[in-house]
Amino acid sequence: MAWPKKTGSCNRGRGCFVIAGVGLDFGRIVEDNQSMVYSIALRFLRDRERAEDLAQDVFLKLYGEMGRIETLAHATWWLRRAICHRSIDEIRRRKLRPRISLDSVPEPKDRARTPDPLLRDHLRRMVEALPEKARMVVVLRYQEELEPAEISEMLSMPVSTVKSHLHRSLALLRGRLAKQEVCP
Amino acid sequence: MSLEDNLREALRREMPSAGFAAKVLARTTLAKTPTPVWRRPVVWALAAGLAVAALVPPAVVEYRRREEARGLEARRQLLVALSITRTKLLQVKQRVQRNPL
Amino acid sequence: MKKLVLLALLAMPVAAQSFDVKLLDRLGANASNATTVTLNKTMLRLASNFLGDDDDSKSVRALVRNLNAIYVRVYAFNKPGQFNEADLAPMRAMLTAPKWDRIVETKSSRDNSEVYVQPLPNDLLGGVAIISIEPMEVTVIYIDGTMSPQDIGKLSGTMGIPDIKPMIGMPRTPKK
Repeated sequence: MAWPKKTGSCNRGRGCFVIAGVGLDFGRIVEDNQSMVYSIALRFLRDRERAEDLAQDVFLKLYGEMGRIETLAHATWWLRRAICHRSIDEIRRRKLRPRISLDSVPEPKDRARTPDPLLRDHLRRMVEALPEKARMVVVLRYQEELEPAEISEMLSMPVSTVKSHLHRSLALLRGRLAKQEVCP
Repeated sequence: MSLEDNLREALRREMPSAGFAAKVLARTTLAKTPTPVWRRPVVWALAAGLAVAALVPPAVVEYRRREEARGLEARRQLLVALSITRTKLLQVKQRVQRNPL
Repeated sequence: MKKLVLLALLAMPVAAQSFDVKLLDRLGANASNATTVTLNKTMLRLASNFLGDDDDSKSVRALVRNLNAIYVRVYAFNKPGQFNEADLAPMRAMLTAPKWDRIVETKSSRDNSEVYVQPLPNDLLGGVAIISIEPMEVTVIYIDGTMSPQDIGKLSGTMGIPDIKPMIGMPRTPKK
């Protein structure tokens, strides 16, 4: 699978499409992508320290691959793909099953109808309780704002499967929230 | 807000701890010059090890068997060639001795 | 036209220095029995790896170390005159090059033999060629590569060949 030459993922408006292999600053790549890489790992591993370790490993791996990286957008694409797969591998390797099921996610005490930290945390924990593939699809869709076709490429799964994961996950979350009456 | 908006809000990217980038860059200095993965000896060794581990039972044994067969056949041919050469030179030597110039 | 002829004449010695070994196979078109050996450098190295560590094997390995190829063709026939000596022409053409010396030529009513060597400085040989023609058998041997007569001599009485050095000292027969 080829990395997309031009994507909407580089949304900072600076230096996304520099000439291949010229002037790529690894420090800038780290700076620009650290939150993305770390956050994807965090949603999966649910452990800040381990998420940072994994993110560091992925950046170091990229450092070894810099000879093949053509642009900043390419680096972002590479990092996103790498952290997705490394996160899934890591969670499987360590046999980290969701420590919580959707049913066990405690209801927020504050049932306010506007976004608030409690609802945010509650949703996060519900997402973290989703099965691996579904969780990654939801994270890439709503954290990374990727389209289903992009997620399909990223995770090497059919678009229909991506849409199915999204549909079922949203229905599950919606049902759970409705049951707990925390969401409109 | 819709569920999807709430999800976007909940899944907003977070920054790692302060100094994360510095730690990564510090580790890259230990890693020295970035060399392509395929050019690193350790990767070659690892790949070779994995390949051996994965393929030894059928492929490598078969390859070795064929190489051994080829080698033994080459050795046999070499000895045949030298033996014929020896015989012919002996014949020539005898002919010369029979009919000295 | 004259220039073309001149160019062709100039090119002849170069062309005569090598020949296609496959052409020798024509000799065996009517053979009732054929023994052929074709060992290039790779195969020679491979063969060396399968030689033992005893003294005989070490001698063979020493001989083979700097060889490029060994070609042997032995064709036996049911009746005399079943091969065409003209098929030896490409090899003979190569052996007429100045770098080759014919060190032995024997002729009789029954058989003819020729031994050629390619002398190099420091008593080394750059190649050995043997042509042996009998009524019902023809043998061609071509060993290409650097070897020392001492290495060849060491093979005598073992699995190899007799000492070729005394032959090198023999009076040379003029090339035709």
